[in-house]
Amino acid sequence: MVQDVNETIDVLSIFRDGRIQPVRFKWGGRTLKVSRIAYSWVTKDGAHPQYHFSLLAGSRDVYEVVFDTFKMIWLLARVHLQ
Amino acid sequence: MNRADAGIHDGRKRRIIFHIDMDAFFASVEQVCDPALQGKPVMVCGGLDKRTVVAAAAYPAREYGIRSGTPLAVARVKCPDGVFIEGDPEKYVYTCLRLNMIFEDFSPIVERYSIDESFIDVTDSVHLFGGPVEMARRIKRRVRDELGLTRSLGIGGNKLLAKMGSKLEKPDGLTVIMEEDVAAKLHPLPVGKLFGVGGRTERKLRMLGVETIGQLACQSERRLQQLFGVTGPMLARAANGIDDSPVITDVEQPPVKSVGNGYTLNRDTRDREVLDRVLLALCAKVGRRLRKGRHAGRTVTVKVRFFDFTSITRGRTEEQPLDLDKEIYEISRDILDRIARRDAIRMLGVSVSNLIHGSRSRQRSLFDHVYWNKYRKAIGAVDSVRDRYGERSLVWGRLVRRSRREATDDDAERPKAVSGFLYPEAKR
Repeated sequence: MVQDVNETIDVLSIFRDGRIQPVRFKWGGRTLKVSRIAYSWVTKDGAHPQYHFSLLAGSRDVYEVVFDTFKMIWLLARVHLQ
Repeated sequence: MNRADAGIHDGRKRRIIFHIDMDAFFASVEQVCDPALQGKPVMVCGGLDKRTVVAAAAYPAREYGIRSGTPLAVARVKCPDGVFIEGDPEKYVYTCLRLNMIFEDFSPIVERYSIDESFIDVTDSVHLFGGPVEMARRIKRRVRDELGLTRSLGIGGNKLLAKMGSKLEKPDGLTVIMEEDVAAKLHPLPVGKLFGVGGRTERKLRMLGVETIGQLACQSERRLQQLFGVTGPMLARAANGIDDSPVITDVEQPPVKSVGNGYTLNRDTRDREVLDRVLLALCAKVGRRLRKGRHAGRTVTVKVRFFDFTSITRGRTEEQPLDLDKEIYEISRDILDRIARRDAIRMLGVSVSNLIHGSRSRQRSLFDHVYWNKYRKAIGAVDSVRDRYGERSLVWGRLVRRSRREATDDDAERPKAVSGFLYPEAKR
């Protein structure tokens, strides 16, 4: 079931070679390890890019997280718990 | 090396065009984002609680008879176990841009035909990649490796043949139709499969006894002109695989002819307050798009679709071109007032045509120029804020929710599809 979350979260990520790679994030009192970045895409809100990641973590759960470059925050947009 | 790979036809260099058609594009992107959806009947829609249609159906959903354009309500009945996903247009636009960047690594002549279809003229670069078929395989491989998507690719001696080729084998197909293949590969197909033949033309052709593309190819251009007017000779040429149209890159595209937006309400309504608000949201969207593209237009058209799916379209042409939200809104509202029928409305649309490019709206009368000059400056400032902070940073006051209660009662009429005017709640 897909659930809209829209919560700011802490994400441990690697910034390397002009790319962002989320590695772990905290949500609901748990630290989740990213097993795979299924897809990533970029949108713009005004002049500020927002980096979206569809992450696989946990068993087969999918988390959409967004790095907002204007507010400099990570957002958990929605989750798809299998 | 097959004939397409030879690159020579009748002693002269032949055109080689690729047509790339992403398979169930939006649904495929969603399946890449969420691998658990692979193999499931995924359907991407405009919204899940709305009177919308399926924008893309994955192949398992098509087995239930669901296609792009199937109403959501019908799709839910036909495929109760379907996975319905609200579409994310920005994600698909981004993916489309990434795809075209890959294509441009193979040839600079790329035409973005639609969000999920592109033509590539590879005539002058095909020799660098080991011939058309090897080049096509490389493109498919890169799209799969970098984006995880599958696509059907048609290779042809022109755009028509390439497009027909990409439709022949789906999903993940690779089909070559050169000029010499037309009789064998194209002519046996039903006439409805020919690019450019819609449902009405197909029915008319079948009534005339024309069942296959080959039978259409045998008809004289003169006869087809008598039956179909100017499109008749084009049909005859298409049936013979003839098409000289060039692949048109973004910079070569002709200027837009009109800018418009439409919105289907969540429930039919006669409530003028609601309709005016939707109209304002549409006019604001159209105005913003006009100004962004540096267009201004003289004709404002309003389209109204009623509860029974009958439509009325009315327009008005002004002396001076317009691009300001308020100007467009005032004229649109006036047009809506003059539509005498008072039945419940299902859909509203606003468009501005008769465009002058590189222009902006001009003074409308001698007496109100001070007001309009001030208004233009204010809208210019609003546009600057939106350019920097996003479309939702400033919205018309009438479009802002006043309370959660109002959001519940009235949310259906607040057009989320008019993106950029997403109605943040006002703080009390």
